[in-house]
Amino acid sequence: MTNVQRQSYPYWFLLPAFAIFALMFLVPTGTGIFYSFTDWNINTEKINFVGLQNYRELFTDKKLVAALWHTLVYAFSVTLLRNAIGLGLALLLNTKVKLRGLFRTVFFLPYMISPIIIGYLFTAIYHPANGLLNGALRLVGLKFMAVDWLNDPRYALLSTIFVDVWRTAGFSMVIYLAGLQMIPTELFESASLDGARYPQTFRYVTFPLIAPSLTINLTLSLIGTMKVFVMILVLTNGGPGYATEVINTYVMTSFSLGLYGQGTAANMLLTLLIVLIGFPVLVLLRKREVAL
Amino acid sequence: MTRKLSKLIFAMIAMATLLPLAAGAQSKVTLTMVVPNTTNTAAYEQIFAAYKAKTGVSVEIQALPAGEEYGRLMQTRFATKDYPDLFEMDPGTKQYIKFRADETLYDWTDDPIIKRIAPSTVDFQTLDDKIYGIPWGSTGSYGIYYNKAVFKTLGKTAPANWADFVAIAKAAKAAGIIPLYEAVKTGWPLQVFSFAGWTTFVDPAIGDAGVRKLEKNELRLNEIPAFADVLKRQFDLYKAGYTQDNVLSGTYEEQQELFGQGKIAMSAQIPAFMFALEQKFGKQFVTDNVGWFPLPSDKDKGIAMLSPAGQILVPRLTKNYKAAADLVRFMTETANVNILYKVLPGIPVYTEATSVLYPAQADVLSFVKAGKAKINVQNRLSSSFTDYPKLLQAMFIDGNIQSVLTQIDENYRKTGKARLLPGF
Repeated sequence: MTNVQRQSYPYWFLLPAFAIFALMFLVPTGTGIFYSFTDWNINTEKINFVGLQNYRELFTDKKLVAALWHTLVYAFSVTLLRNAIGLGLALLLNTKVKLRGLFRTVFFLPYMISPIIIGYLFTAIYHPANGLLNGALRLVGLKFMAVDWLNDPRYALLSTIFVDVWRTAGFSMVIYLAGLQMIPTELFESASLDGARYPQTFRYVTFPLIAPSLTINLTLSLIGTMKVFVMILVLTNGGPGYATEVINTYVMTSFSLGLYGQGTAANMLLTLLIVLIGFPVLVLLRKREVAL
Repeated sequence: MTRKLSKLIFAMIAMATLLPLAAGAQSKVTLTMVVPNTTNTAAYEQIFAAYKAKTGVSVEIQALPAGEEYGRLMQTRFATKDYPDLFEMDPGTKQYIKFRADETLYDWTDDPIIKRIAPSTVDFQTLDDKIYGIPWGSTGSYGIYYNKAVFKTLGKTAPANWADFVAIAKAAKAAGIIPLYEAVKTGWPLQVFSFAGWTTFVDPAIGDAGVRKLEKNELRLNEIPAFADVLKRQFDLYKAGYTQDNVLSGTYEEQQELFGQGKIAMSAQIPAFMFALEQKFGKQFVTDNVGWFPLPSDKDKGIAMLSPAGQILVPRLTKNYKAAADLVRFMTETANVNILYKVLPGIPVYTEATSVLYPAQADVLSFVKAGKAKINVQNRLSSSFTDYPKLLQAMFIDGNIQSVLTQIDENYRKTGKARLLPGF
């Protein structure tokens, strides 16, 4: 075996994986980029190149601008809340609290349920007249807070955000728990000997050492929530009106209208948005990670 | 040992492969028919059972979400070549354009069925001397369906003009009854008010010439004051408190329930509303308690909006298209269309068919006979009021009628352009 053969040898093992990646990701992305510059729609036989026309039309469409804004609000809100709650739960369940195994399962359970089922469940819970939430609020004398959670445009997006936080906080908790359990106990013991209190221990020991968990959680959460679709579709279908329209529901509408070129262009915008936000976040977080 | 194991594995693989094939060989053809999920399928079930008894061919009914979404889903299925064997669709030749009929649909032009259909319906279904859709159902009407028992309690009858209509709403509200239920969350029922109002308010204002201009994109929807006026009337009723509380969470299902329970005086609805009520509250309820009137004008009772019978389309690019066409021929035999009209009474489109009309349908017929009826504008235009339910939801939220009109107009022109219609 020559030196060149020896050096290239490992790359042959990468070939099958790369072929699958190219087939399932690179080719669809490439064709997607191509079609976003065409007038492809359900009524045309011939597809024509139209340059940036689809993108120009997208940016002059108030619905898409609103959808972009809702997507960003949704993504950042869910990411922050689910991480804050997930971290809180992880810290709590990393102590010697009774039934912690049971609690870990209970908090993780919503993540195992299909978003469609959760969506239908919360449609019933949020019902303004017969829902569990408003029933409970009325029972404890908070009738003024019993609003139309999913159909009042002031609360609709907030309500969908809450459902997704409830569903995914347990997943963040599991990742933080894994990070917490990797921290050597000696570090806590020496901090304790040095007289550090809990807030100081958390700030100077725990938080820096769970940085990899934070990176994973924030990155996955941001990317995942920017792609939100099912939860919105089931809970509000982008409504009332366009109050909870996100990019993916906009894309779905474009496709269902047969405007495939425009729908693909909107999809490309979403991809770009994910790269523009996700990549810098990932780079920043990786920089501050502390190696254990 | 290894050889035995190999034989066993081989035998298992062979069985796993051959068993489904054998099962498949035994089963007869199963056709799939797609319908909107608001369809009362009782007539289909009876007819399909008779067809299975006669031919051994089973028919499976697939229900998809109704309204605008239904058309979109069907178009998407066509685009991906996921054709059903046959499907229900809104009436009119607009559907031929949407589904590129000359390439994809079975041509019925010379079929004997056509001779048994009312000539006006045949005309309505003909485009460039071709017929691709077989009419199915009856002529109905969008309009205001009212609970006669509630009206009796209020001491009211069908309104003679708009002022009367508002007075009824006022009386209902005073009596603790919901005057007009708006299914805002469901979406599609929101359109009914303005489409029913179009024949009363917009048609007299722009005339047939105006509709022809819309067809050619020579008139803008947001420049028709009478159309803005219809939307304003709908919104004003809401602002005056003549709709239910929590209007934004109103659903079609709740509308049926409350109407049947006598908690709603009026509902702007489509003919299928009666059949849904019949399923829930029985035939007697619909016969005794459901009345109909068009949206009244300021001066008179208004003009009825007619919704022509729907149609059945058969994609001809499926392997079962001949069997599907045979099924349609069977469905349209006199005995079978009579089953349809027995289950879903209405003004028949088949010349030899008979139907006993509900009183609400007789109300519609009286307007037709008086020459006070016009076909739904949606069925007279080749483009569509795309995303109309959502835009009307937005109107209920912010009340900005002009903004809604502008978007309706933009969507109408955008859809016309996408459908490659002349003038767009």
